Amino acid sequence: MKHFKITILLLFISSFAIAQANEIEQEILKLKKQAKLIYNEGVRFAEQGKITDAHKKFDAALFIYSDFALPYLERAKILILTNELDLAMNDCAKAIELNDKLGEAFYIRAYMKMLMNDHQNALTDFTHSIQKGFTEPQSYYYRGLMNFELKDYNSALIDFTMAIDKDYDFAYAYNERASTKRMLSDYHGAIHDYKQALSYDSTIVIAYDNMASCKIKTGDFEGALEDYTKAITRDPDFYISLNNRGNAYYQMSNYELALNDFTKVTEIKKDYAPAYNNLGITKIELQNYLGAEKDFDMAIELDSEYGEAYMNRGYAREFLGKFPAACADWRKAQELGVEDAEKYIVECE
Amino acid sequence: MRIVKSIIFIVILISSISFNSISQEDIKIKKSDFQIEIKEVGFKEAWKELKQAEKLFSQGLGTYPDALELYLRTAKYNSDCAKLNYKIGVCYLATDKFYHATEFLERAYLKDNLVTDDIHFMLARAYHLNLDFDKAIVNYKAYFDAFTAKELEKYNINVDKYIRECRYGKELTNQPVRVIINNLGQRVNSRYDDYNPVLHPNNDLLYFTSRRELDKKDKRIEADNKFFENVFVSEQAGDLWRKPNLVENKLDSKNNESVITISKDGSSIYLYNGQENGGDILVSELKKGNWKSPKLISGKLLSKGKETTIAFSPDERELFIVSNQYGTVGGMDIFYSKLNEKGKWTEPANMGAAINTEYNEEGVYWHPTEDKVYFSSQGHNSMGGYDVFVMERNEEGQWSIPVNLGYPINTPNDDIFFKMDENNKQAYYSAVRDNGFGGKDLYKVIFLGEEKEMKLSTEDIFLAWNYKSIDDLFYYIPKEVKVDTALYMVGQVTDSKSGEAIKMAKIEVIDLEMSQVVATGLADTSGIYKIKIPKKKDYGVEVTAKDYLFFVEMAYLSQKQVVDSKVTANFQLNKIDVGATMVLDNIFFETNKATIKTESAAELARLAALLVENPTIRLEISGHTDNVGSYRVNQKLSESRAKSVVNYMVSQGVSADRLEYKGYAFNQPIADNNTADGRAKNRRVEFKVISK
Repeated sequence: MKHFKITILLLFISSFAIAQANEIEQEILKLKKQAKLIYNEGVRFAEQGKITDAHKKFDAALFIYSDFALPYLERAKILILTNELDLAMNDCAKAIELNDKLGEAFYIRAYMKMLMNDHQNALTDFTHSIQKGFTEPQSYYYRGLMNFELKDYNSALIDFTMAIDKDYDFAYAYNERASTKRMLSDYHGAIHDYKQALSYDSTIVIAYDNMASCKIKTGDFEGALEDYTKAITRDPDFYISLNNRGNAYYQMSNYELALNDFTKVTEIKKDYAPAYNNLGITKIELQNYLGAEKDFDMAIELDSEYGEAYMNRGYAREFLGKFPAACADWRKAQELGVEDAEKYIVECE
Repeated sequence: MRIVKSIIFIVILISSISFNSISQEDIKIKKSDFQIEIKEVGFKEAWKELKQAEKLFSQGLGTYPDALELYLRTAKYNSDCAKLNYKIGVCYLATDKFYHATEFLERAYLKDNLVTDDIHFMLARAYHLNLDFDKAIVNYKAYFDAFTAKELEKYNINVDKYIRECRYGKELTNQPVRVIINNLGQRVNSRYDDYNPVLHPNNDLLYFTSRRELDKKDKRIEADNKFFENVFVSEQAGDLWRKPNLVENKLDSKNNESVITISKDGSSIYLYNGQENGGDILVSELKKGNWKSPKLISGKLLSKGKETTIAFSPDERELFIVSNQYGTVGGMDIFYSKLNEKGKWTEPANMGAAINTEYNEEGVYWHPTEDKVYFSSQGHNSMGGYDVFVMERNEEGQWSIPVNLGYPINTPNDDIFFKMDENNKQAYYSAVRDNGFGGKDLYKVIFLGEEKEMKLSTEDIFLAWNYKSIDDLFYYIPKEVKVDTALYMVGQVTDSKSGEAIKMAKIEVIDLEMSQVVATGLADTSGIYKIKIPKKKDYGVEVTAKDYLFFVEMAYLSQKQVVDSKVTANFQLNKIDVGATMVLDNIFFETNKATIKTESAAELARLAALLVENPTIRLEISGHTDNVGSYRVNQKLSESRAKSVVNYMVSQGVSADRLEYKGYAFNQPIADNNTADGRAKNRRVEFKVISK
């Protein structure tokens, strides 16, 4: 009888517990549904570009139901836009923890790692995102960027091609594919892709600059000058193209025009050491060795680890008959890893 | 106090040799060459200047630069005058602006190809000096072709020498040596000849010889119409040399004097002095900071001829001396002497034909630390004038064949008095170069090592992303998640009499607009069911369960309150017992007829199913009407309708003996016949279980 009573009691307790569990489950489902509804409101704000409102809704959704992966992901994206990368990274990690099949969460985490120059881990996460079905053009594009940065140009080529296949007017992807081809010494292919990039987005000034540099590789200096000039016309402060055009003039032995361009670079970007280095080299050609020495001094002042500037100052000083100083420069260049330095140091000895 | 030079002593260390072996013609320019009215403004003055120029031209090389200025002024009045152009060209040839000569000589030739007999020679010289060797050869040949072999011999014209120089020139200029040649600048060099630099062992003083004009009283030497040779010294100031001063007092003399070398310890300075016997070498000792009166060097080293330069070995036990004493191979030669056991210099010995040539050797200089000797020669493979050569002594004590130092150290002009430093990195010498200040100038040669590739900095931003990243390129607009917004119809199915739960009752929800079952569900053991329905609206509901009559009813969900997405609808079913009745609400007839409408099919199918699933039951199908009309008509209509249903069931395979039919007209109303709604309810077909 006693056992019977206990059994009855246990059954009662058990049934009570089940009822309680069911009740909790019901409550969770109810909260989840509410959170989803609020999340959807956030999505609608995001669609309208109202990211602050969207952020609030995602906060609210997570307040109601904190195990909901999607609001973490979307909030992370907004935090990236507001440049709060640490918070974004936390949100993204949480989204992945809650749902490791969420390909976009891997993509966003990869993106942040890319911004933090953690190329290898970014590559891994972009690959995960693609494997988990997030096969948007950007997934391939960014993975291509990482492969490029990691110098795996063949893989980068495939990725940029995939991005273009998925989005035929993806101008950036054309430019990056062109640069990848350039790295693989396919200069004509690169020129074609740079043109494509510009046909879809003529504001990518860098494509003109890159195309010009490829043309130099193919010996088309006139074409290169034209493209550098287009880049400079579109962005007069784009000192890279000015510097490169100066280089082209230099290679064409047009030292006065080279000097003009390098001088302009130093006016636009006073702390750009390479321009002073190039100015110095040009002045050597113009036999202004003292002027050249001063320019190299400036380059070294701006970048004390600038091995090439030490090498070149050594040349200027050699021309000036300052042999001990020249040798000291070459020795410094050697310390800084300039390959040719050693053979000139032999002359000093 | 400067000593006034005596014009008696005219021997100089070195004369200009660029083209004095063949004298240029002094053709006279006439007024008629100008084709201009003498009265024309300015011409009178110009004509005067031309006369002065002609006078200066006739005096010799030393005054060619002065003549040139005047000729150029006159040329404004007739730039086409062949004679004038010839003279301007010739004057230019004698200056360090020799690169202008070609233009004027070519014009002279163009205007009158017979302007002078030596026009081809002058053109050749111009091309030669300007490194245009092919044209020079053509013109040398053209000039020499005018002479017979006898004339060539008679006038000592060496055709081959000039042409050889051009050929060497081509070879040497094709393989330039890597040097920088810097003019010591206007502070040191003058518009006159400045040469033979001698660096003090401390490297802080630079002695050299200059033929600059010291003052207006200065006189020119008859031989070349240039000023006397004097020694100057300049002090070093950082990277530059200060304005030089004339070395006066004891080192100055009435003669030409030129500094030659300084001893290793700086205590002795050697000078050339142009004395009557052709020029000798003197030495002055430094005592208490002052140079003493120079004395002739050891008699053994001097001859009756001319000794010009001397160079000591690093240990100062050997020397080379340049002399034209008896026994020369030709012109000035290099001789060798060394100290014997008694500390006396041996008789100078000619270095032989391997070193000395039939032409002049000059400006000998021994490297400060090595067995290398530099000198200049008009022979060997000179590309013109004096070229600098070097010879080295091997371990066996033999001197190598002299090697031309190459272009651009050497040029077709005179390149001489070359002094290399002990590190072989830089040297001083004198030359006539196109960046000079007049005549010979002092130059510093910087020897560049191996050709170096300058590191031009190029930079490309390869990736558009790195140039200008688009902030939201990564951003994908999120998609809404699906939220379960469907309604659930919940409730319990119970027995209509006992109230007990009916388990496993099947509930079908029918969308009447679509005539389609949109949801189905089963009641659990507690009779409880939960069915997800698409939306909140009114549905038809059919409930069936074993041993129970089917139940069909409207569920007016639209009017019900939704709580937690649920609307509640409970159903009570009648058990199949004898006497149990059920109104068949969904059997429809044509008005006042017994013809069954097609929309009754579902209800009739349910009835048929009831009979199939319960094969022992027997039913009475009864027809009922409202009270409108006569009893007889209504009875007949109600019976006909009941019979129609029975007939339909039979047609569906139900045995006829399981069915009875009866018409009750309006005798068994279930609602108030006084209302339309009541009457509608009374117009019905129902069945009753009459046996199980």
